[in-house]
Amino acid sequence: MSRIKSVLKAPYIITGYLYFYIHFVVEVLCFFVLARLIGDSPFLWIAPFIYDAVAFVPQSIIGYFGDKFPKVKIGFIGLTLLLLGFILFGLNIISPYISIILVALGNAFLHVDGAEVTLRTSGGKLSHSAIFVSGGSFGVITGKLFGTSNLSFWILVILALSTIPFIILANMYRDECKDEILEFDYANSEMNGGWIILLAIFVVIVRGYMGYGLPTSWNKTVIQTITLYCAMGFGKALGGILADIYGVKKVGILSSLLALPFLLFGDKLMFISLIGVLLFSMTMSITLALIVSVLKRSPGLAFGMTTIGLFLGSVPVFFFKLNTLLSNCIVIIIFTLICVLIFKKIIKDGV
Amino acid sequence: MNMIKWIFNPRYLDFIMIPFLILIIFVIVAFVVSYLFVKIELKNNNKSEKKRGRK
Repeated sequence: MSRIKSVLKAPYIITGYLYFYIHFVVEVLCFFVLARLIGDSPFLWIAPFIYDAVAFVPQSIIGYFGDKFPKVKIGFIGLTLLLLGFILFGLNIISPYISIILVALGNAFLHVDGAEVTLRTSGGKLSHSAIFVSGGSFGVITGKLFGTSNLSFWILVILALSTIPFIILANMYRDECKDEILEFDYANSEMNGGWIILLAIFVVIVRGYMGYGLPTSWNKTVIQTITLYCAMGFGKALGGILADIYGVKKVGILSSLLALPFLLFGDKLMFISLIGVLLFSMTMSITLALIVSVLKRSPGLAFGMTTIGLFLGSVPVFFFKLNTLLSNCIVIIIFTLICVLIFKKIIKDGV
Repeated sequence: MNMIKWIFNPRYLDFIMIPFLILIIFVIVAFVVSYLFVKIELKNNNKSEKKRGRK
């Protein structure tokens, strides 16, 4: 417990908390728009697909330019786009698809800024970025709930404006740190950097797919859905914290292996399934740290590569779904074992 | 849910195909550009590591 406390008080860990809140608010706004637009209509399944493509795919390009031009405050560009799209959606004066594209782009810019800030201030630790990323899961479910309620969208505009001091403060901390992050050294140096990136992206794709395609027939009520998203959020944060305490390799391999039985037998048992989801989400910060270990001078680009993986992982869910529990279990077993082998190969020994 | 059937349904084909194609082209271009950026960065990393090795 005292070890966890010391990680949560690490230098510059405040950037993780600041961007936890910003990330939470961003996802609330985005999923509010999506939930209001989609409603119960099966015709609008294209909307989340457009959102995923525009929010996830360009982050690597935005990240690359963020790395090259650190004086450009991409967090504020993101907030402007997000607010513009959100207000246009609320006023209903243009096509909702243009609003979705604007909020998705705003989301992409703010994600990259969060990654830049938390990675550059982390001193090679994973907790900062893990805490930042975990805020998203809580935001997604809150946005969905708000979107299906009668809440006025102006309240969310105020919520979005409340992030301004947080973005300013986070960027001030970032400016205090140096540009290169050489402390990230978790990848196996005997392997080709390109292969490490590819294999780490593969693990992200698997995690992305499982996030959407997990067998969770127990999930029927709103409370259960909230619990599922909370487990994802806590898992992401815990992964980074435990990796800082016990080591990246140990946590990466053990969390993937331990998640397997819980995911397989948790189709009808909520608590078993939640433990599996929590354990599997823990690999998030580890894959990011591995890519950053290769692209030390471009943390924004490295973060963008993981979001490309997330998009690729979500694509199959839009087009087909494994209908039988058995086929789903076989896919989970095969891909989890491949992920474990990948971690064993690409993570440096002794870290 | 079954998006393939929905996208290629003639009723929606004109309405959906053009934006969908634009989206796919956008995704492919972003993939290619990201790949090139990663390649450039890996090259830069190798160069600076060689420099460090000489020192």
